[in-house]
Amino acid sequence: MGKIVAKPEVCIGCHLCQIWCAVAHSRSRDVLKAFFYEDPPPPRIVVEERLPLTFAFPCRHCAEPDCVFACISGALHKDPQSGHVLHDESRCVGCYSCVMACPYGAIVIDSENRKVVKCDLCEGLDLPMCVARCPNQALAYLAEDGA
Amino acid sequence: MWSVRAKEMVKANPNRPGRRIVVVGGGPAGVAAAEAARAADPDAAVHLVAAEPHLPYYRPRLSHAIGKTLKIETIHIHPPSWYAERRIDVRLGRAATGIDTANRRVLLDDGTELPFTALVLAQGGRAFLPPVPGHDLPGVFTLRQWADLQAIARWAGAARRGAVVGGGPLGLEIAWALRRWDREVTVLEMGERLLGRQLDARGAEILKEIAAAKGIRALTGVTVEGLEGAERVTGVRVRDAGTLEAEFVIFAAGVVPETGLAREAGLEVGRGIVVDEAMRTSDPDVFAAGDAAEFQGRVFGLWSVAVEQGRVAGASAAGGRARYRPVAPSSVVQVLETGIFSVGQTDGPRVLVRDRGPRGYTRLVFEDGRLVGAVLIGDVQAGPRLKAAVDARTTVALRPDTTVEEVLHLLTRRGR
Repeated sequence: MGKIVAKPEVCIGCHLCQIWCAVAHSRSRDVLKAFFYEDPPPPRIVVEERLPLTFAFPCRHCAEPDCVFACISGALHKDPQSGHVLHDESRCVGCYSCVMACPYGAIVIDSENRKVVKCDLCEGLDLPMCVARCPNQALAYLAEDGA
Repeated sequence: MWSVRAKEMVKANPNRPGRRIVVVGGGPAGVAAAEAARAADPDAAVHLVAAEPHLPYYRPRLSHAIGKTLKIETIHIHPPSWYAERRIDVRLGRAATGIDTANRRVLLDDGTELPFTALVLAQGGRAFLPPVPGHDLPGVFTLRQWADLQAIARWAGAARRGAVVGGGPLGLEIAWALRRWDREVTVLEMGERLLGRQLDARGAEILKEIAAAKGIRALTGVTVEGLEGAERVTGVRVRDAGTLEAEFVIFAAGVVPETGLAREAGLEVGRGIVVDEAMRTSDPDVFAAGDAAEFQGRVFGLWSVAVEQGRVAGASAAGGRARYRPVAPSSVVQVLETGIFSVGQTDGPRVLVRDRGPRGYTRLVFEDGRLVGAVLIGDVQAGPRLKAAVDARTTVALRPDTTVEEVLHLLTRRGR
């Protein structure tokens, strides 16, 4: 199971992971178009700031995901093959139970659509966009546990 | 090696027949119990008895589906194959009519008797329909089951004006769905406030403004005396306020735990079926979970609690040693397209408020310099952090002129 891990010791709090996360989930997937001509979606990664420490915080794709257990509409599910915790927006009723249930605060409210969004590990790309674009390699992608 | 053979011997021994676990109830607690029972004992016979003629589904989706077309297959919790793979014998459309505790059997309404070594009662609750005059008129509904949704859709499809009794989360969800469907709708709440459990007086007032802006009339502090009509409901009689015309009335006035079977079987029953932290009732082979169960004096009526209690009940029924880990109820809801967060006390000796009316409301409650409660209307993103701060009874040094923004910044510091 793949997941993104953060390295707070080299995170400089630049928030580029958030910019690129928004781009990756925008219509055009182009940074200029997304920010100038579209309403970019909210980033699905959060940057914690406890200065001087900062670090980016994505979904952990937990083995026993509290968000999935809390979901009342069947929108959140754990893919049995990949182990990824995925969100089907068409089923989301915006109750925000998962937002409260996640111990890491990794589920983000999309106030525009009154639903939630979460990290999908950029399925279809070689690397999650936040990892690929982090200028300081403060985010890494582990393809398998412990790899 | 030895253990493998020992296991075979146990299985082969006719004096030690395998477990037979019967789960009564096809809601989230029942499904979780059946799943956990199977996981804990691969050899047990597991039966799931559901009164509704449908595979278990996501019940909270019903209120959102009023005025829309929804196929029940799309809201099934699991597809049929899921039950087959786990060798869970599902009996749909079958109600349990009795428990024979002496002979360890559950009686079903088709005459079947299901023997059990362990029984899980997870029948949930039924919608409360207050016994006011006229409550049995055609056109009066509650919304709990798939069939209720179908009945409401049929009736309201040909009607223009309806009333919803109950200003809690479900009542407001139903009201919004009706409004979106272009029906005229009035919400009648007996308490002084909408979302009385979540909101302070000012917050509730703002929510009323939001409702009005969306075309929903909300009356609070009103008592429904009865329903008018001869062949079908034509109105709601409200004390001191005359009669409100309505072609249909939907009650969303709470849920009553289903405890009849347990009571008849002589189990200890309070508001719900009383269970310990293994979800065991007063009979050591009978377990209960979900909206039917009462744990530490409380019936929660929440999805996440039902799932967790179901998991524990199922594992216990299969001889496991699971213990219920209380699930903190979520403190956020979305009604009328508006996020509402509320935790702890809504009032106290020191209160900081930022009031922009329907555009946003923040209320922070302090006692002895600690954050003891909070209310957010609109942007609820700070909710989880505020809840953590209240749970930890976080101290906040307040000056006479400290602002809500400062406290929020301090408690929820997080780059956006």
